[in-house]
Amino acid sequence: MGTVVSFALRLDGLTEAAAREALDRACTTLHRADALFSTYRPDSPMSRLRRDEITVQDAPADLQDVLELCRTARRASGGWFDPWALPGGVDPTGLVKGWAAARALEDLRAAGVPAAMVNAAGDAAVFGLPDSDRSWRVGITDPLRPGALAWTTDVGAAIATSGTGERGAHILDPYAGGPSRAVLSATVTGPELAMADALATAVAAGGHAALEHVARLDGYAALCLDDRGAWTATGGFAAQPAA
Amino acid sequence: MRRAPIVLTATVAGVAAVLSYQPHSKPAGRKVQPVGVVAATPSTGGAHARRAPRAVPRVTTVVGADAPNQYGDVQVRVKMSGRRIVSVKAVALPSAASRSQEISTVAAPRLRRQALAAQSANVDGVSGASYTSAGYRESLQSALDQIASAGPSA
Repeated sequence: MGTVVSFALRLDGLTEAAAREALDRACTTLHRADALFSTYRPDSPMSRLRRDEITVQDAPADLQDVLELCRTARRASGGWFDPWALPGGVDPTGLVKGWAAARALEDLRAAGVPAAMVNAAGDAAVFGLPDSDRSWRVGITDPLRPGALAWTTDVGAAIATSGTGERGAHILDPYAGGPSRAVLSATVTGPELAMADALATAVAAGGHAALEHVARLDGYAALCLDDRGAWTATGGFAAQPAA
Repeated sequence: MRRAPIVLTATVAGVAAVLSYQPHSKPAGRKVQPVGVVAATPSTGGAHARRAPRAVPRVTTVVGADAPNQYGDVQVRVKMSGRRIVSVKAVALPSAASRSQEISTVAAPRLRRQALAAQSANVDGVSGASYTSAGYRESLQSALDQIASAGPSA
């Protein structure tokens, strides 16, 4: 998929050989997800489905599961995440990266790794604690200052960020009474990375209207930056300004 | 003495390169404050946690396994100074049709940026919007063009 995936493992009680074995399994999971879902591969089941060469019923179980997740996310986001709205057929790209990374994380857990983070180009899932006295901590980049972090936050399960970092689709803000604002970056935290991924995509598309939907979801919180440099968050989003 | 508990590894489309990562100490006395529903620009306040002094480090290079992706076979090479990441390179491996050439893909600079930002800000990872989607495409395409048009490596 051309995505850079990083792993951070706590190794207590594990040999290096066992850690490498666990990582191999996680990487295999990522390869399999790529083979299944990549729209860059013309013969992936996802590409075939988009060309109507197979039906959903004929598709592999994982693909059906992901589409079902997409339906749930579409409802949860008030339609701001909608993989069926794009030309060319259903496109679950806004959720698959998170889904695959979470599956890779489960491989590590199953292999006996005591704590780990999988970070797929900014969509990260964690379990356990990296050290006895702290949680996993993630920095959120500042699109207005490339290379710099805007916030840091302790992550209990998952965090996903969406957006191009530059002016994307304009969103209409009916309350501002002025020119529409664009969302440069949208970050969502919550218990499941696949859902966080979809919701971040939703907030990048829908801005404040989408934030309101996220605010109603148990355990999920969101933060976004608009092109006036203003950060807005739902009440459950906890972060500190980065130094 | 407490062992460093963290190992950082990286993949490019599934390539695994096992690295070592300098663990950071917990910032003293900082509580996470809820942001709430606010509209504010981020401040630049806050103190860094100090890191423990280190012995003079050895420079090593870690080479990841090669793995195919949609752009061809890629191998990640990471230069370490002691336990710190100094640089990350993605190297295109020779295949029947292509030539061996070092390239700077977008993946490698992104990984390096993330690693360096994480080390300086005492975080375990980075989550962020891509810097420029158009730039990503151009950079990657120019890297691919370089490979296609370059002669055999010296």
